[in-house]
Amino acid sequence: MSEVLLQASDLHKRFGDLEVLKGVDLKIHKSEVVTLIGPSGSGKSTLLRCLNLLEIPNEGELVWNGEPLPYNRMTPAEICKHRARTGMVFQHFNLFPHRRVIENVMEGPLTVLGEARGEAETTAHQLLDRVGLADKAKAWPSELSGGQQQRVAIARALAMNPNVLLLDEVTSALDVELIAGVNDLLAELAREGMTMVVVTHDLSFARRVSHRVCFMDEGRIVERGPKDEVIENPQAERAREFMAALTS
Amino acid sequence: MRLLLLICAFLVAAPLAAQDDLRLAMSGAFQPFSTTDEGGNLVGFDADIATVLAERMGYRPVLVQNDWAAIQAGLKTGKYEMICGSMAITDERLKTMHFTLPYYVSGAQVFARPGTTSMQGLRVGVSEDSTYAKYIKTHVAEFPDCTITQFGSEAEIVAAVTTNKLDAFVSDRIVGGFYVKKGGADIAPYGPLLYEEACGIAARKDEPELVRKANAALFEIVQDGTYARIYDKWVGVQPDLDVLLKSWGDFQQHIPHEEAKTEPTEVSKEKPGFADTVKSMLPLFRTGAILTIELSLLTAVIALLLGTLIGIGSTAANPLVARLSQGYILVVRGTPLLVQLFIAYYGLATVLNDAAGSEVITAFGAALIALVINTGAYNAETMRGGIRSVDKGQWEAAASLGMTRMKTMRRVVLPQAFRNSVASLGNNLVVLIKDTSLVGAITLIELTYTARNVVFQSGHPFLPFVVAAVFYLFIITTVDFGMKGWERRMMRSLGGKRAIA
Ligand SMILES: Nc1ncnc2c1ncn2[C@@H]1O[C@H](COP(=O)(O)OP(=O)(O)O)[C@@H](O)[C@H]1O
Ligand SMILES: [Mg+2]
Repeated sequence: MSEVLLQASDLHKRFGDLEVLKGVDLKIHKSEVVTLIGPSGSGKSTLLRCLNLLEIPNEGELVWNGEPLPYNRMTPAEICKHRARTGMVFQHFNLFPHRRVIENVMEGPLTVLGEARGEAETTAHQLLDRVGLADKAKAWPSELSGGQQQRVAIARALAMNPNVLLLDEVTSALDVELIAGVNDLLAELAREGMTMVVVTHDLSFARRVSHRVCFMDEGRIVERGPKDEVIENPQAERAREFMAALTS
Repeated sequence: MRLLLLICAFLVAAPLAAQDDLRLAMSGAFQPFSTTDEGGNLVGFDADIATVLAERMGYRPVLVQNDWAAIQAGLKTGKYEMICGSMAITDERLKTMHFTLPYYVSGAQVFARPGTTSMQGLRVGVSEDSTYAKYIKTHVAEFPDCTITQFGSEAEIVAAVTTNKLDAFVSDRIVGGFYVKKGGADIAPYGPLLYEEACGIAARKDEPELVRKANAALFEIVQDGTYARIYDKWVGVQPDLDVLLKSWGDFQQHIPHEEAKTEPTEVSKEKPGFADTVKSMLPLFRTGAILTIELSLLTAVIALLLGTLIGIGSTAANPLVARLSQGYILVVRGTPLLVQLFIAYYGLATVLNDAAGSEVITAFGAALIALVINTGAYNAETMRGGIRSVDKGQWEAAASLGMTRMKTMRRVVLPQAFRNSVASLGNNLVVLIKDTSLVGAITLIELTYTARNVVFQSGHPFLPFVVAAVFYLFIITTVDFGMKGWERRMMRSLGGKRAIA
């Protein structure tokens, strides 16, 4: 197997008295697609957000490319730098409504990477072309369908040229007929070797793109392994129930 | 027989008349003549004279406190029947009102810093719409290169002297002396009386009977010693009755009283037409309107910046910054603008000017500071709401791109916060424009104050206010129109069809 890009060991996260992550271990290799499955409230989003330091963990170790990430001692600038190299896509797209589609994609390269406008615009056009929205460059986000908005959000994340994409239920808010477009795009990215951590309830999509699947319950990864094993034949009782409910 | 009838009539009329109120107005800001006690009741020489005269005239006295600048308008519009408020009898006032015989004689006096040898270049205060203000206007030569500032009352003038905004002032010799003593101002009478003046009790032109009754009553109380007792009580010395009686002679020679009474309609006949009156007022209003607009625009721009900064501060992660910002909003919104204006003018400006040794903060500067601080707080509260209402997902999306908090605020949150707040900010601006009407309290003659002055000059009780209202309406409608346009542009640039929450 290839090198480990990001590793979490015994990761804990508490919100006040509520312990949401109770010691999570997770290894993500380069070009690997890891899917997180689990009931609502089990801590999947929190885990993703700890991986890009949108939330600062309370305990445990994070290692990036072999280098430890001392999240408690990092300056705001260092934290921003880590977030910039880990792309994230959200369930509700969170596009900037006051910026045109192309400007949404250019925002990161312009303000964070300090790219020149012309360069950023060229890349943005290429990315929009890539997600199938070349003709929507001048549109406002509010003029797009949910599926189109989510593809713009993916382009916006890709514009930062991230080492890993964190995807948090990116098709959950979409109408059924729009899901395929987004899923096809992600599958293509996976084929091209993009490292991804995917939170989803879409088992067929998980089967299609993931290399490994982790099942989370109550702040712990209770089962992990190749996708066939975890999805088709889970060992943990909780996972069995959950898979059955999803497929029925 | 006739005498008997008269007595009968008196006996019948007296109890009836006793039920009738006679309302007499005074400013309540002219010690020792009229002022208010701890209970808010009007007291002083004018108050006692008014009470005694009304009783002798067979009425129940009702004392009314009215702002000096609007005191004639109140008489004209029937808010009270007489003004017993140390009003000097002048030819001009006699054109629009009846006066009783003088009820006291005093004079105009310059008060200046001890050791003053010349009036050259002094900062001189005077009560607005007073005979002293008129005197200064018509005797400019006696006040060479002086800066004349008008104030609402003698109390304010003395406050301005004590806070070193004035070098001298002109007022009634008795009143000025009283305030100097009371306010502890380092100032004394300078030179001889400018002129003597006699104060009378004013009534509307259509009420000559009231004046006759008041004259009879005045004569009575001078004769029976009541007058001398009241005078001594408030002024501290016995009145010089010879001077008073002489003034009565002068007054009666001067005024053909009966004539005025016979033709009350004459007055309205010689009044110019409505259109002419308005037209003649317009130039005066121009200056006032310009000040109002200047002050509003300058404040609007600075207060928008301040409000945005404080609004951002109030949502800051740093608890000290957030607390300070929220505290600022709380304190400023929790105190009246008028109080803030007084603090800025009499407090802040005085301290800074004294420290600098020159006038670095003018009345305009003080007004600007108070208005900016006030409107800034309202804008801050608006922006705080606007920032809060931006979806949390926007912060996360920007953060996940690696944008700093500052950058996120500037490029993502603020533009949306402005979009959310533009209507409310426009509302704050309209309130601000109307609030500038308060700066008259610190000697700035803006639109509303201009209207008050024109009321005094033209004798028209309310038309100037209507003109001012039209000016305000025009300014505010224009601003409103501009704001709506901006709002539409902002919305249009968002694609319009479906706004994202
Ligand atoms: N910022 C937060 N403050 C307090 N509680 C939180 C916060 N974020 C998540 N939680 C809580 O943590 C638990 C796990 O949430 P989440 O990670 O979103 O689960 P999942 O994504 O698996 O549904 C939930 O009970 C949720 O209410
Ligand atoms: Mg979630």
